[in-house]
Amino acid sequence: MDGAQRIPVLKVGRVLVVPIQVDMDDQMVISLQERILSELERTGARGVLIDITLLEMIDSFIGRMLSDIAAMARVMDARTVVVGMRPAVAITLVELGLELRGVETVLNVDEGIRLLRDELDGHDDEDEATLLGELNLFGESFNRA
Amino acid sequence: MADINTTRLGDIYVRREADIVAVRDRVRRLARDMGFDATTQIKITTAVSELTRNICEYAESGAITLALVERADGAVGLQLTARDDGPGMDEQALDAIMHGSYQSASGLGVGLSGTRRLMDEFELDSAPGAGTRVTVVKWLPPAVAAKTKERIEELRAHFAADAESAVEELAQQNRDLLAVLAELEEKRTELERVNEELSRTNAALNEANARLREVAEMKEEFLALTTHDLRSPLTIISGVINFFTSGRLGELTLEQQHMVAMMERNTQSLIELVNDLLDAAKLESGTLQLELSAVAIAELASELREAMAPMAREKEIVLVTDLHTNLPPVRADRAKLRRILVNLLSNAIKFTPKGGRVTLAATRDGDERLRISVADTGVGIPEEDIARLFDKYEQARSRATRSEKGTGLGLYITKQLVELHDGEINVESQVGHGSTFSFTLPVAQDASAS
Repeated sequence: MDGAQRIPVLKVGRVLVVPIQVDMDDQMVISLQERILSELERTGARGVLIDITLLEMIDSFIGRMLSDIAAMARVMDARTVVVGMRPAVAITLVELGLELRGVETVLNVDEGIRLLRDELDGHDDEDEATLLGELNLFGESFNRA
Repeated sequence: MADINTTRLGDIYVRREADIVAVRDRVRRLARDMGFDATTQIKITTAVSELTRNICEYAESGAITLALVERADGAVGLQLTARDDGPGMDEQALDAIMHGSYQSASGLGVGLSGTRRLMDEFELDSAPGAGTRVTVVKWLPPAVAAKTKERIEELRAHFAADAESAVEELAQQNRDLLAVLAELEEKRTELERVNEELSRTNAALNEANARLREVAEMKEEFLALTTHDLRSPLTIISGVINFFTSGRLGELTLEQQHMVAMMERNTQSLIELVNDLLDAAKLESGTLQLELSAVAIAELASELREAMAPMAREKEIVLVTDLHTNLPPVRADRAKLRRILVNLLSNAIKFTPKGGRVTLAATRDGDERLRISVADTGVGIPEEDIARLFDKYEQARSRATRSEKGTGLGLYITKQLVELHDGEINVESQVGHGSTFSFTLPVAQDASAS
């Protein structure tokens, strides 16, 4: 089985939610990146929310992957937010000399959703309200879990 | 790092990219066991991740050696050595990497320089063509160091157990493979054995078959010979009897006439028996050839009526022929067809009590065939006997008809003859009410058009 399939890419409203819950080898990282991009194209999502709460380590490769996803998503007219970075991971990133260029980071899923909602607010789709409702609902359930 | 006491814990081999995850996992657990705090665990893990990726990227395979180090001043730390036999680096490249100006294909060019920042000690040893060796150390906080030093054996055992599990896994895979191989070998041997047995059985079967064929041939030969040899004296006896009855040897007394008639009757039935046996033998060996021609049923029927009349008269049985008008001739061997009908008619007469009726009938059965039937008002045949009716020597086996003379070959021969004519024989019978034997024959082609 393709290891990356273990990482879900969920569409909630117009946002792709990607909770990374396992340690990834490089192949998984590459295939996850491809999946996010193809999902962006397929669904026309406007935001990518990558949850790394459970990720215990970000090395240069995974860091570059996050940067690349953000850059590519931006080219595809979507905004990328990384949520849930642990303090220790942040410290390590900085010491390693990695800056996640182009990646917006927020503390938790709530914040991430708020940020993306601002993004979505800029558009006046008629079903915007429903979308935001769904997104908020998802945020709540996600935090509870 | 000369004044350092090193206790090697073990190696982790790196062969493919997916090994990075395993290396990270084991190093993280070791760091935790040693007492590093969460943040430092992550730093060490990240550093080893970078080192391992470098091995994968530049050398395809290599190893990470883990060791506990103890400095003269009592500091205790974890030492990681990543080595590979890759192409190595020249000083210029080293310089670029260490100052962060190097652009790698995979990371952000911060792998080695970042690793140096994450760890406390960093030593890089590389030359073009001589591989690369990176040694890094992370020191434990003094408060933890003493405790960790005491647990050094435990840690080693812990790590070894970890390593063992990897080695064990490989060993298990090996064992599984060997088991599969052994099983395969066993299957092959078994197959060979079965094959041999099969060919032995085959040979035995062939031998038995040959013997059977031989025996069958002998039987046929015996039948043909004996019947032939029986027929010759019978012909002579029959001829002699003719002399007596013709009166050429003078008038016979009434008693003599009676006796000669008895001799004639018995000789006749003996001749019939021999003929039956001869026919059966011919049918079985497949040497019986049909001489097909267009045969007119009406003509044959009247001939048969005449021939069977004495036998019928003797039992006071009415012989009826019931032929449809304008029946086309059938394609048959006249003599064989006569034989079939004689068999069926004499059987019918034989098994019908006095005063009964035997009917020979023929009708069209579709455009291509005629159906010829012989019906009687006799004793009938029980259903369970019908299936065996056409078996060879059936009558001889069946007690019910023992009293009647005959070999039981009659119906067997009849069926074989009908089938030789591409026909099929059927029986309908009701016990106490009589039986009907019927068969079909093809209409002669040249006649069917007219």
